[in-house]
Formats: sequence, C-alpha cells, structure tokens
Amino acid sequence: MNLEIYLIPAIPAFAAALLSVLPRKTRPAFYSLISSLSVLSSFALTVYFGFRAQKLVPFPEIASTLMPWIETADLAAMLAFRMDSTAFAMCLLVSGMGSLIIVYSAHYLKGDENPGRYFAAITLFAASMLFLVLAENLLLLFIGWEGVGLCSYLLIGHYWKKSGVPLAAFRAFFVNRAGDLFFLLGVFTLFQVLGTVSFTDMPLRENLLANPAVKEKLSFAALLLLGGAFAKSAQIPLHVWLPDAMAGPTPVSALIHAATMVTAGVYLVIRLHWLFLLSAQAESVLLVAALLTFLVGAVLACFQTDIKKILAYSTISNLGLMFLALAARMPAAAFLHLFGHAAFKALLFLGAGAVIIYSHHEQDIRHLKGILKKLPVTRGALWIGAIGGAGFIPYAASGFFSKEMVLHAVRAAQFSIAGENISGETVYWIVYAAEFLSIFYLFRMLGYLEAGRPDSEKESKEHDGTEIKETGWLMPGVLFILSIFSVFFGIISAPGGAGGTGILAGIESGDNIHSQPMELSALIVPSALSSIFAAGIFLLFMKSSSRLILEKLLDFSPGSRGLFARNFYFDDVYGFLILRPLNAAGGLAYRAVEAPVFLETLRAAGYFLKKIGRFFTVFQRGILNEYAFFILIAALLFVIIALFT
Amino acid sequence: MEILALLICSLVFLTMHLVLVQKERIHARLAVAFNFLYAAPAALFSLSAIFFAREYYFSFPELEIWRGFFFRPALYLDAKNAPLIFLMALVLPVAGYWLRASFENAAKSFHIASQVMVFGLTGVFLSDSLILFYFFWETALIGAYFWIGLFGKSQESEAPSRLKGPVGVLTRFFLFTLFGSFAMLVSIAALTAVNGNDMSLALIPVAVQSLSPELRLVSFAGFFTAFAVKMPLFGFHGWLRDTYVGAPPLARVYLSAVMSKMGAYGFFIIVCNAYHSLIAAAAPALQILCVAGVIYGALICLSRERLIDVFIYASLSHLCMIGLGLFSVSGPENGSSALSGTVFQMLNHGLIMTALLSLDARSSGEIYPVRSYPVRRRTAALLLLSILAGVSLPGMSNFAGEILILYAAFLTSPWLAFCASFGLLIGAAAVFRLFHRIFLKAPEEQIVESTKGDDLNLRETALGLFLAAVWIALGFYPMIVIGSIERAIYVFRMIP
Amino acid sequence: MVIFNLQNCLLLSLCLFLIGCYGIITRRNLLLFFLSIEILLNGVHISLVAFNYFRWSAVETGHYLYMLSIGVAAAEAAVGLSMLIVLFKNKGGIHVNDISTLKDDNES
Repeated sequence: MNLEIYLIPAIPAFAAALLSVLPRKTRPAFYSLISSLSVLSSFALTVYFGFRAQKLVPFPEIASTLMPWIETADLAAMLAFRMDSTAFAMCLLVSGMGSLIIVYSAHYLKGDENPGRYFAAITLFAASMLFLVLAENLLLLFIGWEGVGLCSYLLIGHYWKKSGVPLAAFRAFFVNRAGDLFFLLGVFTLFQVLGTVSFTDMPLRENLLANPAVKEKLSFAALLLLGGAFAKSAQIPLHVWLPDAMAGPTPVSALIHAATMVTAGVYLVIRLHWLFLLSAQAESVLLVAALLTFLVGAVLACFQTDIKKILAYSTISNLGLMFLALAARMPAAAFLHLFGHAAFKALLFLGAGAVIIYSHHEQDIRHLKGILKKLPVTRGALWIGAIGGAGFIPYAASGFFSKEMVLHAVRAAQFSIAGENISGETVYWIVYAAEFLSIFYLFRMLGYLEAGRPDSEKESKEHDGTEIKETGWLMPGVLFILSIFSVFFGIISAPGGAGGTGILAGIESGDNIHSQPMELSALIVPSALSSIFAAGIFLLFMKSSSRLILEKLLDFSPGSRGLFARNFYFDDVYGFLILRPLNAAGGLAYRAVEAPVFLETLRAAGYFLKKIGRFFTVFQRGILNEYAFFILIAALLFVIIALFT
Repeated sequence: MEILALLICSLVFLTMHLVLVQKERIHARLAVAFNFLYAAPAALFSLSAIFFAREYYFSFPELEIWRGFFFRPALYLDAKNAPLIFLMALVLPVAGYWLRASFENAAKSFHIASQVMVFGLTGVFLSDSLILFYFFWETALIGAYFWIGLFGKSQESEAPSRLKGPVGVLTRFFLFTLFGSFAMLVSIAALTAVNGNDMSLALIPVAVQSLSPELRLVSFAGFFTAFAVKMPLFGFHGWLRDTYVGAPPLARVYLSAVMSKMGAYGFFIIVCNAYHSLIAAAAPALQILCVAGVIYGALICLSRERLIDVFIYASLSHLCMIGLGLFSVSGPENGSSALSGTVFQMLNHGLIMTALLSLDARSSGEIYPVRSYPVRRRTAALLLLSILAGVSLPGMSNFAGEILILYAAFLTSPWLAFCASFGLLIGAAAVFRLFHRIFLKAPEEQIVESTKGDDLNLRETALGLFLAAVWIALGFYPMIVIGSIERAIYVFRMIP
Repeated sequence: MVIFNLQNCLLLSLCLFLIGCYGIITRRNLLLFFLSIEILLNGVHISLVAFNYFRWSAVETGHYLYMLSIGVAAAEAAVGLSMLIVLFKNKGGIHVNDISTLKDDNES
C-alpha cells in the first residue's frame, strides 16, 4: 500500500493547520522551527523512498491508492499517489529547497508583524506542491494546483498594508484561476474521451486513437490544458502576474515564483507529453508562446532597475526556454533546465533578499551600488548564481549543460506552425542570440552591486544608524549551502554525469537525451565569447562613467518608456479588452436590468396592490354594525339569486 | 418512528416558546440552546442515514381515521434528504450562536416565528406525501412572513422606493412566494385529482403519466414557478435582494441557507423525477437560463459595493449553478451523478452562505457599531476561508459538487460549462475585490484597537473552524455523502 | 285560537330574524349587539325545529342540529361576554367604535 507516501504532503499540511491556529503570542522561532521541521521530514521521507528504491535508474514506480475521491456514474477519480522518477526528483527539489528557504525566512522575517501567517502559508505551499507532484490523476493534481495558487496569493499579500500589494496578490490568484478554467475544461474533455484522467491509465487507452474524432478532441484537450499550464508558468499572454508577484517577501519569490510553483506548468506538460505529441496545434502554440516569452522576458529584464523585477523577468524568460524544449519534444531537457534554473534562480533571489534585508529594504539597484563589498557570502552567492544563470562556464554554471541541452534539442528539432515548417536551426540561432541578453541583465545587475564607491553609503548609514553587514548565521548559511548545490548541479548535469542521465532517464521522451553526445570541444569558442561579453558588461556597468552612458542609452532606446516600461502593454490590453468591459457590463446589468426590471417593478407592483387594497377599505371602517349590514345584504343577494334562477 | 422526533422536537420548542416561558422576552441563550437541542437528533438521524444508509419511514396506516380520506401523512428520511436535514443541524446552532447578539432583546414572537419556520422546513424535507409537502411548505412561509414582517428593518431606499419599512419588503416577498405557492397548489390539485388520493413522492411520476398532455404541462408550470421563485432562479429573483437586506440577520441566514433549498429540493424530488420528458424537452432553454443567471449574478456582483449585496448575488449565481445541475439531467436512467452532485451542492451552498452571511452581519456593524475592519483578524480570516470555500477551491467540499454539475453540463455542451465557469470566475473575482477593499485597506486612519465583542471570540472561532473542517473533510472525501445520495437516487428513480 | 302550523312558525322565525337584523345594524352597545345576534339565531332555530316537526317528524335531525347550534352559541356567548368584560376593563366602555383599532391608519 505504501501509505508512507501520503505522509509526504500530509506532514506539512498538518503543520500548516497547526501553525494557523497557534495563539498570536507564540515566539516566531517556534513557527519557523515547526515549519522547517515538517518540510524537512518530507524531504527525509523522499530520501527514504530513494534509498528504498535502491536504484534510481530506472526508478521503480511506487503507486498507492487510498480511496475513491469522486466516483460517480459520470466522473471518477481516485485519491491515489504515484511516485516515479519525475515525481521523485520534483519532491526532492520542493522539500529540499523548501526547507532551506524556510530556514532562511526565519531570519528574513525577524520582527515581522505576523510570522504565523507567513509560515503557515509557506508550509501549506510545500504541502500543496508535494501533493501536486505526487497526484496520480489530473483531477487530484488540481487540488495541489489550486492550493499552490492560494498559497502564492496569501504569501504575495503578506505585506498587505503596503499599497498595491493586495492588488498584486489578487492578480496572481485570478490570472491563475482564469487559466484553471481552461485546465478544468481540458480535464473534462480528456475524461469524456478516455474515460479516465489517471496518469497511468490514460496512455494505455491508445486503441482509441484510431478514431480521428478522438484524436481531434485530444488535441483540443491539449490546447485547453496549455491554458492552465501557461497561467501557472507565466507564459505569454498569461505572464502578467509574475512581475507583480515580487511584492511578496523575497524568500517566497525564490521558492514559489522562481524554483517550484511556476514550474508546475512545465511539470504538467512533461507528465502529459504523450498527449502533446498528438497535437500539432498544441505544439505550435507551445512554440510561439515559448519563444515569445523567452524573448520578451529577456528584453524586459534588461530595462528593470528593481533587483527583484530583473530576476522575475529572467524567470519568465527561463520558463520560456523550458517550454521551448518541450515544443522541441525534449521533455528531459526541459526537466533538466527546470532543475538548473531552480538552483541558480533560488540562489540569486536569496542573495537579492540578503541584499535587500541588509540594506534595509532597498530594492533599486541604482541605490545599491557597491553594497556587495560588505557582504562577502552574499557576494559569492550572487556571483555563482549569475554565472549559473548566464551559463557560460561549463561545470561551474548550474545552467550551462541544461541550457546547452535545450539548445541542442531545439537545433535538432523540426518545428511547424500552422503547417509551415520552420527549421530548428532558425529557432536555435534566435535563442542563441537572445542568450546574450541574459548575460547582459545579470551582469548589469552585478555591475551595479559591485560598483566602485557606494554613493548611497551615507544614506544607508542614516538608516537606523546601523551599518550594512551580514548578521546572523542562518541566511549566510543557507546561501552557502545553495551555492555549493548550484555548483554541484553544474557538475552532475554534465553529459555522463549522474544528474544528466540519472534523474532524467525515467522520463519517457521517446528519444534518448544523450543519443547525440555533445562535443565539449565545440563549446569552447561560444563559451569564451560569452565570457568576454559578460566581463565587458560587468566592467562597463561597474565604472561610473561608462555606466552613465549606458543608462542614457537604455533610457533613450526606442520603446524604453512605452513598450518596455509598460510590459508590452499587456496590462493595458487586458484592462481595455476584459476588465473595463466587464465592469461596464456589471454596472449596466444593475442599472438597466436589475434595478428597473426586477427591483423597481416589483416595488411598484407591491405599491399599487397596496393602493388598490386601500381603496377597498372604504367598506371596512372598523365599525361592527356596518360589517353586519354588508353580510346581511350579501346574504339577501344570494337568496334573491337563488330564488330567481 | 425516530424521525418523528425531529418534527416533535421543533414543535416542543415552539410550545416552550409559546407557553412555558412566561416572560415577555426570552433570553437569547435559551433560544440558542434550543437550536443545539434540535441539532442533536437532526445530526444523529441524518448522519446515520448518510453513513450507514439507514432509511427511516413513518406513516399512520393503522389509524382508522385516514382510511378513505385522501390525505396520507408519511415521513421519510434517507440519503436523498438527509444532507438537507444535516444542513439544518449545522446551520441552526452555528448561525444562532454567531448572531446571538442580534436577537439578544428580541420579543417572544421572534422566536416563535423562527420556530414555526424551522418546523415547516423540517417538515418539507421529511414529508413523503404531496399534500403534507404543501402543508409544511406554507407553514415555513408563514413563519418567514411573520418573522420578516415583525422584525425586518426599514430599508434605506436606493431607488425612489415608494414603500418604506419592512411591510414593503414583506409585501414583495409575500407576493412572489404566494404566487408560486398557488401555482403549486393547482398542480397538486391536478395530480391528486387524477390519482384520486394523496400520493407518495416516489409515485408522482405515475400520476404524471396519467395526466393529459395539456394538464401535464400546466402542472409542470405550476411546480416550476413555485420552486423557481423559492430558489430563486434567474428571472424569478425579484424579491431576493430586498427581502434579504430587510430581514433580520438570523432570518436572512435561514432564508438563504435553508429556505432556498426548499425550492431546489422541490425541483429535485418532484420536477426532475416526475417530469423528465418535459425537462429533457426544455433542457436547452432551462440550461441557458441557468447559465445566464450565473453570469448575471456575477455581473451584478461587480457593480455592488456592499458585502451583503455581493453575497446575495453570488448566492444567486450559485443557486443557478444548482439549477444547471438539475436541468442537465435528461432522462430517468442517467444523470444520477449530476443529481447527487446537485444535492451535495445544496448542502455546501447552505453551509457557505451561513458562514458568509453570519460573519458579514456579525462584522458589518449591523449588530455592533462599525469601528474598523482590519483589526478584526479572526473575522477576516474566517470570512476569507468561507469565500475560498465559496469560490470552490479544490479540496473544499464545494469543488466536488461543482465539478459534477459542470461535467454534466459539459456533456451537454462544452460551451455551457465554459460560460458557467466563466461566470463563477467573475463572481469570485468580485467577491474577492470587495473583500480586499473592505478588509485589506491600508489603514491610513489610525486603527482603533479591537475591543471585546468586535472580533469573534474563541468559541465562535472554534465554531467557524469546525465548519471549515467540515468543508475540507467533505472536500477530500465527498464520496461518503455523494455515494449514498447516488444510491438513494438510483433506487428512488427505479421505483415507478 | 292560534293556529299551530308551519306557516305561522316560519312567520315567527322571520319576525325574530328581522328584529335581530335591526338590532345588529343599529345597536352600538356591544351587549345589545350580542343580544340581537342571539335573537337572530333563535329565529333560525325555530325554523329548524319547525321544519323538522312538520315535514320530517320521523327523524329528529332538526332537533339535533338545534341542540348542537345552541351549544355552540352558548360557548360563543361565553367567550364573547368574557371578551366584553376585558374590553370594559380596558376601555371603560363597550361601544363598537372602541374596537376599530386593528385597522392601521398610520401607514401612508
């Protein structure tokens, strides 16, 4: 039965329930202790499963069915979990990264008004994400899917007193719910066609595929499911919520909006890859959206000055890259990049969080010049993260091999959009060129943070009179561990390394990921080129004279005020096309229909009935004799009628 | 025999209110205690009907006096109606406890009216005879009528309303429901006439079969009007807003949580069962009506600025969802899962409306003067939890019911499911937006520290958390209810 | 000699009935009003008994009806009179116009 598997999400879930009802006077340390211990025990359980499996390649599937969840004549879904290699790796990532980041938050949230809410929500998030990962069918996955959305909403809204924060939380929640609408319809379509939404059973119903109508419906279902995946993974056009989500505490951005939750869409597509292979439309939508997202994210990241916004757009861009690998029918590459990205992005975010905390909540990189000089551990972490993200040094950069793998896959693939064939080579060169943008924005950021003299030093000293330095050991400790992990991942993700073949071999991708071994020697030239570029950008932004010129250039570049500053007008378009018409329709429905037709008419009807009634009261003045008289008259009338008819 | 205890229970409390307590004013605690006492047997019997599939049946066959008389009194309780009795068992104590302050000084007649209503509602859900159904239906309405009429509050006029005061509200409520009731009376008369006798609910389809086609249509229209008004469905909801706003808080909760289920239950037990050929013929129109109602309610939500208004119209949306589930059933042999989802959804809707409306009344200054919202953490947290349950977060009970309804609609046409869920999405967004505006305002003016009685106290919070636990438990294991409902419905529909 | 036949009995009944009618239309004193109702009732009773006696003397349904009716009337009189007493205590009089307050005149 493997009932232990249910404990993996259940322990954090119960911990979250406990945390949310603890009295307000509980010590903050107690919250973080319970929270991190519960997630850590999930991690331990996952590791236990790993050990029990004895060999990771191929990972022996662990499945367990607890009871029927919804089981009616029409619709049926079991409450069942399944752990295969994909789920196992995701569990490790979520619980491991989760517990590290919760430990980090213990320091980050020092002095917070309401740490209970924060830790309850982040623990619940871990539970939901683990639930999502382990769920055996799509409907059950939906519980975790919405659960992570809810926790994201709660956590983004943590500083709800700041203006704009509730709105950001609201947007994140409802963009996701809009995507979920399509997700649910996709699940319905799948169920209608296949009669099951179990991950294990669905691919087995291939005998139905001979019917072209079934194939068409499946293709439609794939498109609908993409709606949900796009919303969760912030793909164009549903990416608008992710930059706003940076209003939350930085550890939340690291865990939820970079490393785990936003990859749920990628995870879903990997899980249902057989379905997307059937659907040419879904694949072309995937390609277009992924490519656009990748480019838009990279371009916008170059124009941001808020350190968290830079990282947010970088996340969007990297998610685009993952979807690109999926469009190239290489889920293993996408999955590998998911991990590589998680490693360096969490590091970058946590480093940024350290910068923000130690500088007393300053997020504008222009005001953070030279701050890294005082924060040695953070400095190391950010450097490793940036190198990992830009991905130009083999083995040292966590993103190097995963990105290479994606590029490799894209180059080998054959795309088609609406029947038009597009060679993988074209896409490859576009992506390759755009990769320089990621080097640009990351090293621009580092350049600012390392720049000569912190000219805001006086200002920051005036802040509470405290000097900027790393305090406590929790945050630096976590940064240290993550840096090691990041480098370590860069090494194991290499072809032939444990990561490259190990974790990923279980993914049914159709073709082996290392079937065409990469020529490492061929990577030397581009790698060196990138290194020179990175160094150049870094130095240019570090020197104040050249920085000023570059700032001017960025500022006056076409579109920097309109197109780029306003996120390609996506918000305006949504406002214009959806929100304003809806609001107008709401007002109109009330003014034109509800009030005059339903409320006023009825009020008037009541009024007139009352008037009529009042008219007839002339016969009823409350005098008994008159009533008696009327009765007699009526009786007489009846007698007369009876007599004369 | 046991289920008679339920009715007798409410009757005994009614008598106690009337006679035993000699004072002019009854202490509110006593009334709440009565609610708890009522809830105990109600919960016991309904849960045993749900979990252990027990069926209770009670009639008076051996009494000579009923022989040859066309009235056949019988009560039943099985998994079909047990969710509704269970709903009452939860709603009465919870709402009574939360809103106790609102009727602290209420006159005796307040409790008498409420008890009459409870008696009627219990009877409607339990009765296994058409005429008894009607009798209890009217009893519940009479209770509601006096309750709102005597204790409703004057309404601030939004439009140039000519009728002020509770009497105006009452007139509208009364007009609508009386209209519906008379229509139903005609239908019942037609059915009884053709049967020659009062009949059990399960045998209504037989009587309907022997009606002439015209009469069948007329009787269908009669039942439809009565139930559609009571629920209400879109187009029949004119009384809804004014009545709810005008009613005393406790009455509002009863109306929304339980009384609207009278209509839904009537649809389910009479209309969907007996008139399936007509339902099948009219299904597209009815489904579109319901989906229109879902979207319409959500749109109105967008334009309203008071939490109570938004809850009322969101409730309209959800009731139309229930309607959609009812009308997605096209024949006697299929659709039992949509129907069981619908019955389950009735339970959920009742529980959620109880929480929403009570918490809103508890915190909106209706009972205590408004100070400042943000300091009421527990109220806000529980309200948010209820809203989340209301927007059917997966893992909460509402989701399981809603997904069954949506899937049934989806099988009819994907567009129906799309439009309905789109409407629900808008409604959810509207509720959230208003919640944000009220509770998550950046406190520019200084916050008055919450004084005692402003926020929920520990016991009230525990009650709310209990409700939340019910939602989550039913969300993860809805089959415990849905499964037994489905079996009961299957058997029920096979009887004729 | 008075002729004891159906016609005369009905005449008597009619007379009593008309006297009762006159009473309930003109009297404003509730006690007299009651009295008039009783007279009116007795008129009807006489016709009941008379019909039974002259036409269907085999069965005595009319008599039974009469007994029932007089019993109900007595009960009603008891209730009515007690209400009169309460009314007198509250209002200090038993005039018909005193009890017209149920009609609410306050509403617009």
